[in-house]
Amino acid sequence: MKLRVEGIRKAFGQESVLKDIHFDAQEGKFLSILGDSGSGKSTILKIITGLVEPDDGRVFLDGEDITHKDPAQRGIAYVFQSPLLFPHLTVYENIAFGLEVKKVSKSELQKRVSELLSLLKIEELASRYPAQISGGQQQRVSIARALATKPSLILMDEPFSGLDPTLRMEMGTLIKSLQELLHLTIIFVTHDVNESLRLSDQIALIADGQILQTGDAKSVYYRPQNQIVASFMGGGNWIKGIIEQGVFSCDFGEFQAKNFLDGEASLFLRPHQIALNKNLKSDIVKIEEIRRLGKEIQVDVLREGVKLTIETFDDHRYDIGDEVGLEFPKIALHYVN
Amino acid sequence: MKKIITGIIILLISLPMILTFLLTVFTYYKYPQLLPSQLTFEYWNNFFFKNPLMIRSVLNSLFLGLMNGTSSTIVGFMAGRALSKQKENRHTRTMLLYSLPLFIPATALFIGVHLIMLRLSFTNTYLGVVLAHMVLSVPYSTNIGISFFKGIPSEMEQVARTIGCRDFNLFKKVILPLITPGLLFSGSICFLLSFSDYFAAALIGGGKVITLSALLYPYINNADYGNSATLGIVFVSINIGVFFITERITKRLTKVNTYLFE
Repeated sequence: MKLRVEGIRKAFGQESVLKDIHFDAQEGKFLSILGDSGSGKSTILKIITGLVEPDDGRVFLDGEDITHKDPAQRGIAYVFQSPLLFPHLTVYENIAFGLEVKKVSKSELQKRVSELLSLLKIEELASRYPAQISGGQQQRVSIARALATKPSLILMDEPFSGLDPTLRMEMGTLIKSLQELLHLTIIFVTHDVNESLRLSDQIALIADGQILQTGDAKSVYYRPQNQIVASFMGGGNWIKGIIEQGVFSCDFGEFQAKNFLDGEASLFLRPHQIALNKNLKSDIVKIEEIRRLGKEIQVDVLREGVKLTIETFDDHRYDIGDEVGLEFPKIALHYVN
Repeated sequence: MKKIITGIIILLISLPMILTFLLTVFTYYKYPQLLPSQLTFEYWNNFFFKNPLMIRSVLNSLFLGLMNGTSSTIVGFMAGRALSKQKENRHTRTMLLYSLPLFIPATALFIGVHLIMLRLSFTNTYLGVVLAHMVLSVPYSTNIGISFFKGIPSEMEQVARTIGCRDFNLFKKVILPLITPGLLFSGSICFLLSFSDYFAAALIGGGKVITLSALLYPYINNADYGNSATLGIVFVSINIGVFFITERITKRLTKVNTYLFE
């Protein structure tokens, strides 16, 4: 275990920002803290790094309680939303900053900075000042600066939010490849579901100062613990029914539900998990509405008052009013009691 | 058109200077004479060699200006740092208190200051004059300090802390380089405020601390145009010199810092 956060609480005045936060970050893994603005995710990072004191709870790094340790001594790097490069220093000096503060020998400093300049592909910028490079390049420098002192943990607070979508994608790929290459432990704060699904080994979803679900990206996406998690991660269908002796019965038929408790439950399916099939003669539904989402289309179908939303790429074969069959997945179905 | 306007502005600024300079090198040059007649270096000779009080007054003014510039900037920037961390409405209230000396006439203010200096036995001393000048200068330097500190994002300090900086390194390696242009600007403003002051220097200095403006006043009063013009030229030259030196250093320091305030 690299980092453990135990029972963190924090209030600013009367407003409670964090309410009993618990989670672990595994060594060499990429953990995303996903949540809306104001949900408390940046405050968690500031508490981990020591810039904000928690009202209650503890933070452990490699087993050591660092809750009240000086930020300068924690060995945790923090990459902010904006690059925040020191404007009076060149790119080279910015990267070398932490090493100079730690009084690293000149030869080691030069070697480390050269390595990072090459790793982040910014060698040609070494002698430039922050004002002379682009936003994407500035963020690369800030990442290099964070990596320079070989921190045991890297915290990133929406570091790509100021970049355009293409650059954002490129930077995400770069960070992921660096994390895998250098076996870095990263905690990454974002409000972008796709970004977190793309980059993360683990996701902790936070809302209103509480962690609602923690798990690997797939499980948080396909097996949400409740409707709040499900809707935050994207649209979904909840089909009400009853589980009896490992079988879930609903208006759309019967499905396997082994290892789930008997009783009333809802089957959860993402819109792309259900397929439309014109050739099917059973389980017929009527298309109520078709919406274009760019490359995909979203189709609303209705049967006996139950509306399902389905996403498909095939946008030429369906019209409003068509009657089509539905194909449901047979395995890895998720139920919420 | 732009060139003509620039020319007019340069002429408007330099013409009085040229005329004043002519008064320092010609003995008799008055209306209705169009051109000066008798060339003389008597006034400059007087300034540099014959009247030691003149050079002393310049040195006194320079010393007081430097002292006031330095001390007001240090005090003002320390206050500015603290106030920049306060909420807007709270620091406006504090600044109002700070700026009260600026709202009353200088004569009334310095008579009050003079009474305090008498009790503290600071009259007729350099320290007394510097403290009096600081009363007027610190509100300006504080305001400059607030602007510069507010321009440094608090997250930048936090980045430095997470990288390993403690307070001293944070100040030395991050804050000081970023506020240096502000320190120079504030220093020059406070220098000029002190350098140009007549009343406080005359009242608190009590004739023992003679400044350039204090010396200039009786010459003007006695219609001694030659000596007045000589002292005036020295006075203006030093002011312009300080302005350009500060401008040049600040420009060199800030050419890479601009993105901070974008």
